Formats: sequence, structure tokens, C-alpha cells
Amino acid sequence: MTDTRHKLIAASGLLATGLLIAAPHVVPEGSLRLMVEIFCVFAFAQSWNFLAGYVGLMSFGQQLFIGLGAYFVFLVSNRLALNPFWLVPLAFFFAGAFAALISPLVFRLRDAYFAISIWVIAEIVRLFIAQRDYLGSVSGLPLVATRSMDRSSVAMWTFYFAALFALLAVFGLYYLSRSRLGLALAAVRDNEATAASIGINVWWTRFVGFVIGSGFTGAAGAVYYMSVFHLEPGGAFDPNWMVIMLFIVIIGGVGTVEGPIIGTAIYFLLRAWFAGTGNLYLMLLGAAAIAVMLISSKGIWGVVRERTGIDLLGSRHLSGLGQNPKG
Amino acid sequence: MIWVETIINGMLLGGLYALVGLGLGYAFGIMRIVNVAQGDFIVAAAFIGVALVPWTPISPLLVIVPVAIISFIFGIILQRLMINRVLGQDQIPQILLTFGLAIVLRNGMVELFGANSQSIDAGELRFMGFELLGLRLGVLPVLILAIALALFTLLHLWMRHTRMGRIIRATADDFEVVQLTGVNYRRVYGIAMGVAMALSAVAGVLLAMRGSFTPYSGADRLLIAFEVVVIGGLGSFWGMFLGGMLLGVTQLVALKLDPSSGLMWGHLMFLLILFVSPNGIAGLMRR
Repeated sequence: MTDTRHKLIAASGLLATGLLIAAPHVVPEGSLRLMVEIFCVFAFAQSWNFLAGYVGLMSFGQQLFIGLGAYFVFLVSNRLALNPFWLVPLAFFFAGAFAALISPLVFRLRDAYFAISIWVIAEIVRLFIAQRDYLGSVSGLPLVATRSMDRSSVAMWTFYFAALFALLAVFGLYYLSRSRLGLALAAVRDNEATAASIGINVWWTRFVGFVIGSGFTGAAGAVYYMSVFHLEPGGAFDPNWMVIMLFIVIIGGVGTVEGPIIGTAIYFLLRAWFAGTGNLYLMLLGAAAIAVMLISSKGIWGVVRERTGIDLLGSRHLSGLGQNPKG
Repeated sequence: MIWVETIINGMLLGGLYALVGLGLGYAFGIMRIVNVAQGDFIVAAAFIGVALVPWTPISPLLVIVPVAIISFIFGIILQRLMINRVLGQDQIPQILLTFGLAIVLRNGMVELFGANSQSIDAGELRFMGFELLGLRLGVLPVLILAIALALFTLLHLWMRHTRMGRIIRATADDFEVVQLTGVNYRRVYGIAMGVAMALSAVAGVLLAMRGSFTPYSGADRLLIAFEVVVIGGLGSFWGMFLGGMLLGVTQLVALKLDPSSGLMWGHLMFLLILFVSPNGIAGLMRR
């Protein structure tokens, strides 16, 4: 909690930024593509972690925003022949606006019922798109604009956007969690009544958190699908996205910045080791999630932090899930 | 006339949907536990049904009895070995635990049985029909509605008039106070989860007799169950029954008008009800 820690974190942020800026010029294209995927999946997981661990809203339908962000960029870019990279920031606002639109409805439900109601909305949007020819119907949409662009610069800019989101998912979340809004979110998450009694607008705070988290998922979703050049409703709104996000956050540790970094690493390692065994790795993911819940719901980083007292990117004056009061 | 028939068929289907929701709603009403793996358990029960039907005497419908018993025992084991360990103020561990269970179950079923579509062979029942006031109805859907109605009534009576029912209701009200009277609430929770599982299992078998299923059907089943519970008004038995009816009718009418829409209109109906009355049908009636 000292100045040195602040400076260290800022310095490591700058260092990471520098490395990532240099990466496309050094790293071969194949690894670059894998890194884009890793960064996007990490950004998805971290935005779910933000919602579940910082805002206190657990959703089982975040694939909705992945699909919305991606569809927004693909459709607008194809229709108006625009450079899709300019549209990525707008995807944040589009997905965020959709989240704002549904929140009066879904905020009426709590806990699991809130979680599943967003999943229902994701299903509605998926079925709606799958029936509309002008939205590409079941077979989906290609991304036309990037075909006429230089391949290596498309790869580079896709990488830069993915890297930007990964950086935001670490350092942005860290600074956000320590900001005025972050503190308000933590207060609402921990105890609504107390938060209200010290003058925090509970509904509004939660609303802002939901919109930011969902918008971020949408923008990252757009980048992910721009890197594969093709988009279809079955893939973009696939509930398996949710399985991946949940796994990464649960294993790593919900409500911590560091946890999902560990979770993402474990996820990609498991996937690589069990490639070609079909569904086995998904079963392992599920089993690992069960094991974490039975042993300690804080996840790997939560346990490490508790045992060793190491707290790299935490906001120590906030109470994490059942954090040690002495900490 | 075709519309009357569609609506009646929708009600027949809706009774079954209500049963799909009953297991989820029951567990929530008693233990405040939302079992996200419910949909995949429903599919697992259907697979057990497929395996047991050839050995079932008299009528294939009776396969619901052994499947319900197996699921009851399984529910008790699940609750006592796993869910009881993560009980607490915070609901997130329970939800995530059952979510993990759902993933394991679904992918395990894909490994074991493949992803092909299957159904439970109901024998001649599937093709039998009768005329009523000029309407042509299937025997199987009517029998299924009767079973659903009977289970709702039995559960209602059991909860109201037996010792165990009273203990369960008391535990639902305050699990801390009942311990003063010597009740082990963890054991009660086990029984309640067993009942919830048995109800879902019957629903799963009946759904697999009416239509078909794959290991991936769990997600749709869970969404239906969840919508029935919310439309019914979280924990109201008869609200759930009406909720199921509403969903069934909506779905069949919508499929007539918009054949490729799948469950979309049912989902939209759910949002509409949520918009009109956050507490579902039960909330509307109380007003």
C-alpha cells in the first residue's frame, strides 16, 4: 500500500505495453494468432470476473455480449464498407447500450435467476439472428473489409487491439477497483443496505458496473471474431463461452485481478495437452471447478493470497470474498 | 378448429413443462438452492430410461418408477456429499458447483452415448389417438398431463399432511430453529433434493417419450424449467403449473405461425411476464 508498490505496478504496466508493441515485429504470425485468442479469452474471463467478483452480478449469459459486439462490427463494416478497426470502440458502446436496455428487466431477478435470465436473452438473440437472412442467418457472415487490406497489417492491428484489452483487463481493472466507482461497487457487492446508508445509489452503481463489464466483453468479442474473419450465431452465442469464462475465473480466483491470469494459463495448457481427446478437457474443466468449490471457493490465487499474504494487484482496503480482516 | 387443437396440445405439453420446472422450483423453495445441473440431470434420467425400457413390464410408461427411485437416491447422495458442504449465506459456491457438475455430466454423456438424437420407445402408445368433441388427441400426451397433474397433487398433499412434509416446510422456513427440535436439517435437505431429482427424472423420461433428446438438450431443459419457475412466481406450486401451461401453449402456437423459431417465442413470453409482473403469475393473483 505504499508509493513504491504503485510505482512498481505502473512500471510493469509500461514494460508490458512496450513488449506488446514490439511483439508483432518479432513474433511469427502463427504464435501471434494464438496470442490474440489468449488475450481475447482472458478479456472475456476478466470481464466476467469483474461482474461476479467486483460488481456482485453473476451472469450465465455473457456470450450474449460477445455475439453482439462481433455482429455489430461485422454488419456495420460490411454494410457501410468501413474499416472494422474503427468500429471496435463503438462495439463497446453498442454492447454496453444493450446491457443498459435489458438491465431494468433483469435486475428484477436475483442470483441464479438473474444469471439465467441473461442466458435466455442470449438465446432469443441467437434464434432471432439465425432466422434472418439479412443478418446472415444460420450460416453466418464473413468479414469483407479486411480482404482488400494488407494481411500482415490486419494481423498486427488485431493483435494490438487484443493486447490493449488484455492490458486493460489487468491494469484497467486494478485502477478501476481502487477508484471511487470501484469502492462504491465493492460496498454494494458486500452489503447493499450499508452501502445505501452511506449515500451510495445501489441500483445505479450496479447498473454502471453491468454496462461497463458487458461493453468490455462486447468489444473483446468483436476483436476475437475479427481475428477469425467469420461469424455465425451458433458460435458467437455459444454457451460454451460461458463455460470457459467461468472455469478460468473460478479456478484462478474470483474477485482478484491475478486469478484469471492463472486460470487462463491453466485453460490453454489443458486444452493443448488434451487436444484430440474430444470432450475430455471440458469434463476436466468441470471437475476442476467442482473441486475448487469443495476445497476453497476462493480459487488458486485466493488461497495463495491468504496463505502467503502476497497481494500484487489487490485493492487491500477492499474486502475480498471473505478476506482475512488482518490483511 | 385447428387453433383449438393447437391450444389444447399446448396445454398437454405445458403440463409436462410444469413438471420440468417443479424439481427446480421445489429445491429453490425449500433450500434456496438453484441447481444449475437440473437440465443435464433431466437428460441423464432420459438415458437411464432408454436403458431400462426393454426390461419394464406391462407398459413402457412404468419406466418412470425405477428411474425416479434411482434419481431419488442420487439426489440424496449429491446433496450430502457435495451441496451440503458449500451451503451458506453466499449462493455463488452452490451455483458454480452445480454448474461444474452440469459440464461434467453433459460431456460425459457425449463421450458415453454420442451426440446423436434419441428417444424412449413408448411402443404403441406413441401412435394411439382418440376423438373428443371433434378434436383428435394423442393418448400419450393426455396420459403425460395426467401424470404431471397427479404428481403436483401428490406433492402438495405430502407437503401439507405428512410429518415429513411438515418437517421440510419448517426447515424451509428456518433451518436454524428446527435444529432446536432435533431435526438434522442436512438430512432433510438430502431428502428434499432427492424428491426434486425424482420429479425432474420423471419429467425427463416423459419428455424423451414425447420427443427426442441429445446430450446437449440439457441447456434447453434448464431454460424451460427456469422460465416455468419465474413465470409461476418463485416457489408457488400452482403458479408453476400455470406457467408451464402458458409456455407450452405459447410454444405450439408460435411454431404454427413461425415454424423455424424454436423456443424463441417461449423465451419472449417469459420476458413479457417478467416485464408485466416481476413476481410471476402468483404475484399477479395476489394483487
